[in-house]
Amino acid sequence: MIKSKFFKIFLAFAAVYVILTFSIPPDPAALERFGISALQSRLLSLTIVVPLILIWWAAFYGVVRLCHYVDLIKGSPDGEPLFRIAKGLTVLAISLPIGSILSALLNYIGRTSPDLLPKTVIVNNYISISMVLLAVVLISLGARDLVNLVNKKPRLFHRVLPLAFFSIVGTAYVVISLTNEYRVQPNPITGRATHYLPDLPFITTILIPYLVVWLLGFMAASWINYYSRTTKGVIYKKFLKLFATGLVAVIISSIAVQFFVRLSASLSLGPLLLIVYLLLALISAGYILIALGAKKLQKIEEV
Amino acid sequence: MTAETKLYPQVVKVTQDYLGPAAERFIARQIETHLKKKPEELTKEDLAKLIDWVKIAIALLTEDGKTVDDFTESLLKLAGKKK
Repeated sequence: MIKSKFFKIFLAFAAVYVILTFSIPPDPAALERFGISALQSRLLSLTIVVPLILIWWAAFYGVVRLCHYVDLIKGSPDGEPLFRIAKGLTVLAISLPIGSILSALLNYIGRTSPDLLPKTVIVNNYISISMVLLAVVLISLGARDLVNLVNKKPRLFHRVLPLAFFSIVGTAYVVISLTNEYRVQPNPITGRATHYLPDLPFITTILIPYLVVWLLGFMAASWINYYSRTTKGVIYKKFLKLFATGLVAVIISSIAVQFFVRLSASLSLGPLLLIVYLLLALISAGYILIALGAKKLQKIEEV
Repeated sequence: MTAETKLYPQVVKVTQDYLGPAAERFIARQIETHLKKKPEELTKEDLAKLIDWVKIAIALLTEDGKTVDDFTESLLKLAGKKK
């Protein structure tokens, strides 16, 4: 039932994205800039569409396997926290295709109706931050509740380390964001500003929420790592380790993708795309590990 | 609480060293499925049969023979205390 529902949702997203990508006419300015034909542009699109859809599939597969496991243990002390984490991962998984579809639409609208471009960029940013914030709040609440199951408080190191990572990433983001000269005015090369918002609304509705997302994300990763190393059960811990490693990979890679995409105005396109695709591949590897871990944990509930 | 009614929690406690939070669910399921009784009704006479089923189940979860033997040994000690 769960598998069928998620499979249909995945197929729907994939179909919408493929139809959008191949029905939207290529940008004439881009064809001229890169010296390629419309057919070559379509073939290039395939090199983006196929890996992206595979990444979404990995994410949906991980979520399906985890939901199967969580369904078996609901009502148990560890069931509720893992259910919250599963909900958060589901939101994160769904945000991947939604982000790509919105970007494709945004690019097209920006090209055909330049006066609508600022509004579409703002809407896209708000949808992205809302989904990511919801996902990370759910995951961090679940992770905190898992740690509460262990009768040992995390040592100072486990509390300081995520704060240290957050300080580095957060400071870099704040400095680069607020010194970005194309945050409101369009970049002459791309024709687009980063967010089109004046500083005060940008700080209160985009910058601070992203800082909250990253702080909660680093805390959640630390808590999950701590839980997987301190919980009882030699066999249980071995299976949980796969799941925990995958979950930490998904959280950290998601933070990294958001960080680099938010700073896209400050980086050149080639390296940025390479970094983002590598991180997306890492996210899908994380979801596969989550699936493998959930499958093994499920076996404990079935023998 | 009699010695008999304490038996189930003791079995769960031993199992937690191997299955952590899944221990209680695992033992309850073995008792209900193979011994056809409620977990709290577990008696010392049931322990030998329960240990046989638990050994089979644990062997399906791990290839580490030592872990299986250690777990079985811990449960057998429990049976030995009750004799």
